[in-house]
Amino acid sequence: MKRILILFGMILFMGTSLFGQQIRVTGVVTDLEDGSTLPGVTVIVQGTTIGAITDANGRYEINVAADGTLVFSFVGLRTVSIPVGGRTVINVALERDVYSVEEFVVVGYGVQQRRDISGAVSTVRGESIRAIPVQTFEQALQGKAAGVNITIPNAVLGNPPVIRVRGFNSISGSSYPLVVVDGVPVFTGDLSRSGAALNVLGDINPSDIESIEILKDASATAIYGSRAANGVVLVTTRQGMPGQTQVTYDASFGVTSASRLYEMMNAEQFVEHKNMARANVGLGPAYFLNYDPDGNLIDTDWNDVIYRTGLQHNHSLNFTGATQRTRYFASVGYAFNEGIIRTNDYERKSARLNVDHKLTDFLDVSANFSYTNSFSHAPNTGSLAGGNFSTAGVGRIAFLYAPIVPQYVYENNGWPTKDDPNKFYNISGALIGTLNNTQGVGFFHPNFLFDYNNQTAESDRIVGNVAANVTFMPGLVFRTVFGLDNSALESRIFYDPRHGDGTSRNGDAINYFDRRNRWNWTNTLNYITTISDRLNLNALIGAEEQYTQFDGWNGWRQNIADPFFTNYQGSFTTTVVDGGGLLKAENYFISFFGRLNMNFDRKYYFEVSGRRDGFSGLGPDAKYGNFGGASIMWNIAREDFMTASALGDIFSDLRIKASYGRVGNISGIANYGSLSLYGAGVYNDNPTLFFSQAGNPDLAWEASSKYDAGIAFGLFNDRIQVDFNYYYNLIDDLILNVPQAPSKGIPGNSIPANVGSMYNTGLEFTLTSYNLQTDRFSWTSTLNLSTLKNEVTALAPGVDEILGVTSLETTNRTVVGQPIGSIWGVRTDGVDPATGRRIFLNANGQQVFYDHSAPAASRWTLADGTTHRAINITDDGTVLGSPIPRFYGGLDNTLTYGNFDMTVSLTFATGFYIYNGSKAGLRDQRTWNNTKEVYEKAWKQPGDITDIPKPIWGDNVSNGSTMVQSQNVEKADFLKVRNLGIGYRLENDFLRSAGVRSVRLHVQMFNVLTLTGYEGADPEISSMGDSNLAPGVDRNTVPQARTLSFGLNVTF
Amino acid sequence: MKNKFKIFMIVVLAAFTLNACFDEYLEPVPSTAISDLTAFDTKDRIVAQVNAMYTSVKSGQYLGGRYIVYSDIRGDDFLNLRSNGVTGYQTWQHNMAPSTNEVINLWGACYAAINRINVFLEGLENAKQDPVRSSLLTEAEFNQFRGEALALRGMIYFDMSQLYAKPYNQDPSALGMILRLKAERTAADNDLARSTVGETYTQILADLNAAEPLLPLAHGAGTGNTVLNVTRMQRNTVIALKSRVYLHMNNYQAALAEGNKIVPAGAPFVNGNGGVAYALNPVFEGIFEAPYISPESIFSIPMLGTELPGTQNQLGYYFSGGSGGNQEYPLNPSGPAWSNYTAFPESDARRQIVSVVAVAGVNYTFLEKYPAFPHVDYVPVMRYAEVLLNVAEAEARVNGVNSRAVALLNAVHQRSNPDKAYTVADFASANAFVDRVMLERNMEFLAEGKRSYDVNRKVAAYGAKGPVPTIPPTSPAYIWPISEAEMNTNQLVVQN
Repeated sequence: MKRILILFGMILFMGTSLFGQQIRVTGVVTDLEDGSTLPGVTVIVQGTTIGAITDANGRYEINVAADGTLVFSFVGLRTVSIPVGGRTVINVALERDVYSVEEFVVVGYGVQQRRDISGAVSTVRGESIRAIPVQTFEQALQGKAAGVNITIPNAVLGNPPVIRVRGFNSISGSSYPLVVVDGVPVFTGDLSRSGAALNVLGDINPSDIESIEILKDASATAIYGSRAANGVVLVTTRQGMPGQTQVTYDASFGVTSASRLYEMMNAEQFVEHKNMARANVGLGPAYFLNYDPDGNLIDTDWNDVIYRTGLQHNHSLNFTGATQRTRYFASVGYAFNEGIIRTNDYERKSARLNVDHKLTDFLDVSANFSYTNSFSHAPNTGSLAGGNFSTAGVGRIAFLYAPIVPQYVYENNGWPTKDDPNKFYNISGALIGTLNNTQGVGFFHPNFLFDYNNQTAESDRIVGNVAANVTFMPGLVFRTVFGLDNSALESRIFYDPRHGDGTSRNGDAINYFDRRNRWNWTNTLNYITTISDRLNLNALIGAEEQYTQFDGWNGWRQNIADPFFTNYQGSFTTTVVDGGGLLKAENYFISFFGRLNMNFDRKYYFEVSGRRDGFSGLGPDAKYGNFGGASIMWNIAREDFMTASALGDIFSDLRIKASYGRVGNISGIANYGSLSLYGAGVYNDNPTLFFSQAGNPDLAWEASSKYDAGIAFGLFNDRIQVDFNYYYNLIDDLILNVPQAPSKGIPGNSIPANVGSMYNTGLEFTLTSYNLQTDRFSWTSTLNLSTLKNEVTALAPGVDEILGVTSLETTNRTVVGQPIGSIWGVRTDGVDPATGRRIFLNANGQQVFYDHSAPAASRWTLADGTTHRAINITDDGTVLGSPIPRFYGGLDNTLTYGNFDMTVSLTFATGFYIYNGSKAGLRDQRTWNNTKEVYEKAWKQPGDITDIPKPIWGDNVSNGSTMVQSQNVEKADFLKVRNLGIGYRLENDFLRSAGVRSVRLHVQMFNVLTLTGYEGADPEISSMGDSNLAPGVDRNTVPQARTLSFGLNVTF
Repeated sequence: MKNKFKIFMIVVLAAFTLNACFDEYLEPVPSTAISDLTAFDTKDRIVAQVNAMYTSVKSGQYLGGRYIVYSDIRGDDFLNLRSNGVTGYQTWQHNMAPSTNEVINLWGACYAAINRINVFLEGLENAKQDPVRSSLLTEAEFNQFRGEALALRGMIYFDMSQLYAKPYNQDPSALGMILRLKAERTAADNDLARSTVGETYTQILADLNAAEPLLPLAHGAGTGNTVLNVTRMQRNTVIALKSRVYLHMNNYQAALAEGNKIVPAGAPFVNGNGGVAYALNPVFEGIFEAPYISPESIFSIPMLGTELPGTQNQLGYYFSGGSGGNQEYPLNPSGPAWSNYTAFPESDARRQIVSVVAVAGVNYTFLEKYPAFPHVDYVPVMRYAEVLLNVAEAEARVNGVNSRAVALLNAVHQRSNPDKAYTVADFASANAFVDRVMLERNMEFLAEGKRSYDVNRKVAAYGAKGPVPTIPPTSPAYIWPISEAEMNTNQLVVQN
């Protein structure tokens, strides 16, 4: 038997030698992208199990037949097969696999080569935003992608940016896009229930991000079906890099301060101005200068009390590497930000582990997990949606309070400060102390609130997935992904009983706990093949489920036993039964989807995709909806007539494309929106039950029909790349809360229904130009320009308008024939030079003069002196402007010179208006302070030409406090230097000998400069946050922040 | 290879099949709200719906506080210190527009309560016809619950008429309320025109008259004035309300007839008609002290530390100068009642419940009927004292100034000012007597929401105060405009 085996082996040996001489081949395997040598690469002789592995320097040695073939493989890199062809030295540079290669783009449930994409997809590389000193990654996306307009509402930490992909896509629902992180649709928005905002996208450490793709047209988004209408943002986190283990430490230290604060009247000006306003109605002086015990004039700039220079620092440490079968990326991060508002802080601790493992030649498994603890602390900023008229809102305090009273007094008034028993808060009764002034000077004492009130939000969150890929045969892959997003968020409010918000309940402590648990299971089957070398096919089918549970509750304790207690667990005498924070709901999606991409010879492309979604919130007869999209593309550059002609030398790329699709928006549908429900409560300790929701069993999703056409081309070997798209997006079946006559008493006075329509249309232009490329110097520019036109074409039957309200004002109206959320108010026509009265225009355009000093019945008069009814919004209101930019974009320039690099990012927007409601407050002639401009420019004598009327004590009409007026609606065109970054990279032998591969030092400045004619805090502002109905409102909000940071990046 | 293929197919099929088998998740049932299909399935649920009607009435925008506040501050008894548009400044100034918050919110709160009542009435009627559900309640319970619903609806329409429509005595053919009498659940029926003032009062009386026999004499055993008898409608509550409504219509005969059902012919005025017994509380101040259930409470809105009507709705927040008050509305020292030291000397008990607080260096007098903090003071909607004065006025109008009329006035007056006893001879005419009763009402019910009732039914002017001029009945500001939200959605409604 033994002999036979030996004989058999000899025959085999002879057999092989018959076909090829064994030779010894050596070589080095390197990474194509950066040239580094790759240890651990498997080298196998094709068709055998004979193999070798590269050593620490990437070298290998192997015996192989001279006409054999070597197969080089390594996780994360593309496997290559190289015929030996008699060579004894074969050096190989391996190309990186999908995600890390610039030419690949992440799309829904897969990746595609950029040149093969016929839909509208914008990509932002992780490294282009990592260094920007922002709290959350979306803030850094401003101006980076055509058709994507991002507004940071103000400088309140944790206030989520407003993101609009190709405009507003909903009226009652949300226009915020779907965000998918590594395949898991995640929770978004400010989920805090205290005044401390917590944008939960901040849970993603920006330095963990590999790329962000924004899917814009229906062909790209249709595979997300009912959640696709607002666009889809795909975030891909970093994977292990092939090659030696790399350790990177990133740190930055920054300072942030308020930009563009208002210049208010000082003490002398205030006293003079306000007493003059009083004298103008025959009242004696009420305000007087005061001096501190040292004899210095009291002249408080409340901006200094509210705002500060905040410090921030950010650290991130990551490990990345790969072995033969496994690659990994692990990171830990810590961020601490002080905001520009005193006591407004944000802290994030995060950890991530992304691992892929090749279990067998047909089975890959992977796991991505991140854990984040985020913490936010804020005073009442009055700058989050719905809070702008809050008495304690610091945005307003900064410009409302009189400068003639101090923050602190040194006589014992019973209000000692926290840290100095000889220093006292200037408090009298429920309000800030007036000293010897006989009229009010402000509301609550801000320092007391900073010191004793407390609002926080803290979240613990795990987002992750485990996945398996089974490659059954080349090109046929089954993938299953189970993802989860579990968030536990605690919001806390404590109001001190002695002063401020807590006095009316003698102190409150409210704790909220919200748990949001989501699982998401996706199965896909993907087949990629090429038929007859020319017809490329990529087919995908899949099924997905998503289940989400919301579970929130709160406790509210009131009537504190002793101001010593400062938290919920302290001693209170009242516990509220239902603190209004109970939340218990669930929802479920089940979906089936598919996509077919095909192209012939990479010239003629066709793609079709579709999704069928079932959603639990819909009525029994309307549970399912079907969505789909299709696109075609012609790659002209590959046609023979191009390649053969001179044009081919110019055009390295030339494609024209078009797409159509119909997708949905589910955001307007409540979890139980189709049901008619009775809610429960109490009456004098007895249980109650009442009709609380008039459901609509026919309610269905909002649907958008999206049309897109574009051309993309590259010139001179892609030195210049251009992408140009036109889109038209018609949204019908808009869910509108159809207003019901209040006399019907329907709960909420509205019933949702699928009525109404609007459209968005625009052009998008993206240009990337490699202007200069030499050994030492390079200059790259990226320009994107977008236009947007939005028009509402139908509202609910019998509904002429939908109001957009802030906490007190009705600022916007959505009416047919106008853009959504148009600013609405009465028209004014300057100030009468003869009398200093504000001139209003009534509905007929007639001038009506307002004199607050006249008796109430005769304040409104026509030019001839006859009295006129009071001008009001109902009778005289009209559209005063649209807050939606007609034209916006960004320009990035990146320059490198040797080891220096510099990035300058500009953004701009034009063709829109902001309601500068703060200006009304800044010119209010009640006790409020006014700007220096009012002091200088107010009408004083006949003949004065000015827009600020004669100051009349108590006048809150001429300035716009009582209703929106056109003089406070301003053009807000702007050009901003968004970000300026300068870096220097150090790489030398000395560092290398110390084990350091490179060191990069950089300086970043964020929100560098704003050029605008807008007089308010900032032309990019939103008092109402993400609101569709009340955009473009600047009312009592804090301004934007300017940040300067110094960074260090060390790679080991 | 074949095996691999099989395994592969099994994995794929298993995965996709599992994906498809969670269909029941598509039909979730809320665990915190009850479906409309089962709301009348148990007696507890029906009783809970009865309680809910009172909760609607208790809305901070209506009887939970603001209605009372508005009714008082429209008058000339209070000053305004805060100029705060959120806390009634426009109401105080008579500067109302259809879009003013008070106009929109009160309108909404009242009609929300009315629809809950109508939805309940419809459901109750269906339950009564239903073979299974009809056994859930006794005949008496069906009657009682229907009676409570009708009584509340009548009261709400009456209260709304005081603000949104011309007084009955000014013009009964003027535009009154939109009379919503059907349950509204769907998008239909937005358009409904206003009835006249006269028709509105007819409906109010129809509701109250229908309710009276349906309601029990008392909730529970005995005729004592218990919490339930004060916080829920019973027969005497409706009788008291009717005396108020008839008086508004100058229908003195009817007002007297209703009043006589619960006011005996002579002193002491202690009701003994078999229903809930009432008498004046011996001490004025005691009415406004815990437990807020005095022998004279007829209908009050209950408050608990855990059931407050919400920030800036509480009466104490507006009127009190004390710890929980925001010092918004001090007494007007030249207000018609407060300035009258002849009728109401310093020693009058009603002058005693005040605080004097310096605001911005100036001393103001704040009425302290609602000093509790947190604001757990009950809202006194109807007191026996009002019924006594209703009867006094009606008696004088019907039978002339007689000893009973004067005795009724004295009963109320002497509780607070025992030194003064009026006699028939003090009054030259019925008009003079009624004027005196009006003055007494003004003082007695300060900050109890009666001021607009009394100004309106006399079609008198709202007096000037501080910078606010007199508002004569001819002024458009004499009544509120109709809510802008209604104007925008109801094509048939006509603005005042």
